[in-house]
Amino acid sequence: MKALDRKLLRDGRRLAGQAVTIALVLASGVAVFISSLSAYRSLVTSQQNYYRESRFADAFASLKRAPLSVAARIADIPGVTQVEPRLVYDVTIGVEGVSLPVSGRMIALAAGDEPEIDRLHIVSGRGLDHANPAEILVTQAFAEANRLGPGDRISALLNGRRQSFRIVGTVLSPEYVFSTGPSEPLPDDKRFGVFYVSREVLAHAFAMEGAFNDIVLIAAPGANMPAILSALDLLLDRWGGRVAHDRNLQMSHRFLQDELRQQGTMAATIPPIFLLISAFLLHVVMGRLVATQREQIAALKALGYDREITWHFAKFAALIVLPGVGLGVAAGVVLGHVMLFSYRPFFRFPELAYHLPVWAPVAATAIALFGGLGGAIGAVRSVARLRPAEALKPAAPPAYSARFSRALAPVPARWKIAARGAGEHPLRTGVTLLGLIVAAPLVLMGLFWTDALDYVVDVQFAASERADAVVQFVEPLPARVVEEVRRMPGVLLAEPLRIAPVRLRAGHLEYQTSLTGLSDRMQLRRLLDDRLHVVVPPKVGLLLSRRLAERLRLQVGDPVGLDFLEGRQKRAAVPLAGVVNDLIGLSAYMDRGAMDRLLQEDQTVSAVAVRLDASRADDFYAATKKTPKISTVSLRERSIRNFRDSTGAVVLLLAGIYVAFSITIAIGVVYNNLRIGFQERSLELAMLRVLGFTPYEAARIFFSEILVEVGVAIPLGLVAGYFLVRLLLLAFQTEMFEIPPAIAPRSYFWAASLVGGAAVVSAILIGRKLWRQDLVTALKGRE
Amino acid sequence: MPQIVFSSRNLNKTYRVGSVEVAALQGLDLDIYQGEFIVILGPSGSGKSTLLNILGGLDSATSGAAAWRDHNLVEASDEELTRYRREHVGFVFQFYNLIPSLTARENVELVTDIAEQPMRPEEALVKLGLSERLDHFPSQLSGGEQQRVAIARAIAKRPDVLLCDEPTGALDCRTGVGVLSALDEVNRSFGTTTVVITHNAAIGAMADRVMYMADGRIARIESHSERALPEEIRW
Ligand SMILES: Nc1ncnc2c1ncn2[C@@H]1O[C@H](COP(=O)(O)OP(=O)(O)OP(=O)(O)O)[C@@H](O)[C@H]1O
Ligand SMILES: [Mg+2]
Repeated sequence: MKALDRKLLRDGRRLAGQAVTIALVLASGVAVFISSLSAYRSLVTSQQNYYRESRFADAFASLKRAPLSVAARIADIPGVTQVEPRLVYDVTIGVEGVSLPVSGRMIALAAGDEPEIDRLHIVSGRGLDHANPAEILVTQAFAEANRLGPGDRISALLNGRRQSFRIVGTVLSPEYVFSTGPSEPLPDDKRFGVFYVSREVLAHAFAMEGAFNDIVLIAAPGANMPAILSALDLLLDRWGGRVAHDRNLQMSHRFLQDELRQQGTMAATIPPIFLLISAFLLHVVMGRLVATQREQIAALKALGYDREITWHFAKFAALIVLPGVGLGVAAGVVLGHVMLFSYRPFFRFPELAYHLPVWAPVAATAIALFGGLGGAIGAVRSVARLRPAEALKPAAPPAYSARFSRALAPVPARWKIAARGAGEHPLRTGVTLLGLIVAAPLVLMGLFWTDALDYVVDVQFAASERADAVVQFVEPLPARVVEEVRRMPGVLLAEPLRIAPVRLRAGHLEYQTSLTGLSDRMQLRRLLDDRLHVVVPPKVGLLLSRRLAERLRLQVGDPVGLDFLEGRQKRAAVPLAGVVNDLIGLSAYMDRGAMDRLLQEDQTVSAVAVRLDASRADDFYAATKKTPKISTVSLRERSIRNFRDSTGAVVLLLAGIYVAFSITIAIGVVYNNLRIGFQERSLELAMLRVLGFTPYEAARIFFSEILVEVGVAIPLGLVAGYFLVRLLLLAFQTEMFEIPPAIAPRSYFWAASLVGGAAVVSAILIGRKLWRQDLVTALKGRE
Repeated sequence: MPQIVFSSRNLNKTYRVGSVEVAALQGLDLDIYQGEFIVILGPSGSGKSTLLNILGGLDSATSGAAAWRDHNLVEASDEELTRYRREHVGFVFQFYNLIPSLTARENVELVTDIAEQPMRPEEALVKLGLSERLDHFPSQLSGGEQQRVAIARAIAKRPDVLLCDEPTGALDCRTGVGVLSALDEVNRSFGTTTVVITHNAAIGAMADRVMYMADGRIARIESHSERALPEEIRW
């Protein structure tokens, strides 16, 4: 073994603590990168595979009733390759032992038995025996949430008649990867399920023999989708067709896309930040490590070594970087599997196959090597540029300015050392500060998600949607129904709502959503502006969610085209009167009286918001089940839980991982910075000890500078964290959610404590070295 | 007869390197008297620095006895050694070892801040002819000046002993003589017991006694009734 290689091994052993922490920092960065990326890619691949294998429909339309011959004409629309007419009804479901109101969507093919489009994947049990009308399939999510399985019984209220079914299988459908009940913004698997029965059941119950009320179709690749949709609308118009739409407005797909986009954004923003920060730290730390060996480098140069020196330090860097990357990739793959596994309850694909794109570990390795070798080689170069004679001397202390000296005159010597050390080594101080500053934003980036979700719940559910339950009717009803609801058991307050599906138009832009008519002085549903002040819908004009107004490029005062998509399908144009701050969903609001006038109705009600006496909630649910005109009941408590369970759970899982890694990085960064600082000053410290300073006094001098640095870095880090989070969230807005940059004081506190704590732990570790410092060796060795 | 301040008997220091034992000091016996100026000469590796480090409480012996007055230097704890250095010892090294971020005055203050009855830093520096250099940083001083600052730092606390390991090792003759006369002056005016290690036999002429070390022992001692003036020394 060459002498230089032996030096490599010994240096490695001597710097083991540092090498390990640097490698861990790097491994953390790489692991976050690999795991987030591979989990995201796996989801996308699984989605694509599933859509292809199950033949997920390209377009969807529902209508009142049309004869099957219409389906044949739809199949003739150019670009359409296959159609499937169906019977689809939203009904009330009864599950043994479940008091919550449950609704379900019943689906049967209008012709043929097994679906060729949106094929079902059987998870347990078997498919339907079409000769047996008492058999039913349920979606796996609903079955799990209600602990149902093959053999269990459920009942459904079909057109006013209760009918009992036996579950024979649980299934997955590409149409209901997420199943969202009618007019609910979020999926709730306990309260909404999708059910498949034989044609006879629905055809008979709803008198639909030879007819259909829903159709899905597959288009040829590259077909002109808008043309197909308008042809569909045209054909279905006289059959009571609701506007046809493509996948973009299909609830499950839309939700899935949003979730995937969020995962994608998370994978595309935070992990690269982690990786880049850890590569940067690596760069800095390697540079400083090499710089502490400047006299050795000079000596080697004096001995006639040249290229070998660079090579030597490159190897030294690689010795730290490669194990770090290896560990990071391995941990990333394991973690990626774990993440994918924990997605299982949210993303209901028949198969979630792990997929790691090859470029990910390659890119991670390249970035890490670039950071590590770059730092080491850069430092070697800067030493090598010096003439050996110059480099052999300890680095020339900087020229201290006289003015600075005078200003410091009355200060005790230890603070002078600290202040000059910090003020007059701007590079060293800058690098240490930077290292300490990046730690806090990393921690905040992981912690703030919880705060954001809490904020959403507070604003959306505590300040805005304040009803304990919202009762929806099968069809709009006269206003006296409000009185009926008020008399139901447990109801303390009942307020009417008018909700209608609409299409909003602004120039060539349009958006389909629901328009909610709010009554005057409503208590249970309030709209809030950006500063969380209550906004009351004016007598004229429309209020929109801010993101919806932006999406339609509307300014306050602009006219908005309003097409009602039910009943007599009225059209109107109203001015945009203002925007409101909805965090979830994109909606439109109006004064209920104004909406009545537009619809030429008289005080019609489609839903009632109620405040409940909590102790009598069960009686209330039971009563709603016995009322046929009630189609669904949505509950605030459930909505909050759903919000936390869906978006919340996935986001928090990721956030938890980020926090764990950001802590590792923070500790690694702080420790290394202090450790190198110690190394840079070891001769000075030994000298102080020789002069008779106790280890405690020497430590005070050394840690004074650190104290100043940490004290400056923490507040700066918190400020940086605030801006980083804001920046990050710009990338995170999706159609359905807005994540507010609401960082709770508690998170700032934790981030600060963590960085401070890491500094304290590092200080203790280094303090022990200082205590045990062998003076003779330190004076002799100038290591 | 002046009082004995340092004495050692059968002093041993062994370093263990892997399975090999290196004996740096082997049964060393030594007495140093109050106020003496001692020069230690000897080949490289003979144990000079090891001895000085033990006398100064920087290192501890493996076995044997070594004491400064009533301070047992072999069995002392780290805290006791620190206190001993702080109260009684001044060190001067070949490579000055000043704190680069402190001026000459402040380097001296570093010591006077923690000493019991120190000189004023300026007084120590003036004594070493540095009145014009009080607010210079080490990087702004020549080697000889830096070494004189180091001596000022060592004497400012009025130590009982001054231990110098090759104080002129890095200096030319003229500068070296300046440093030596500073040491001589301190020894004469304060009566500070002074031990100087050097490779320069000529320096022995200014000592009360010259000790020649070989193989971890004092091989020979040479006493002078008459000390040469540092200015008379040439090399
Ligand atoms: N830390 C150590 N580990 C092992 N051996 C050591 C150590 N320090 C010194 N030695 C050995 O102890 C012996 C005496 O060393 P010392 O430094 O006292 O010599 P010296 O007389 O001061 O030499 P020089 O004139 O070259 O400075 C030498 O043989 C040396 O190799
Ligand atoms: Mg020596």
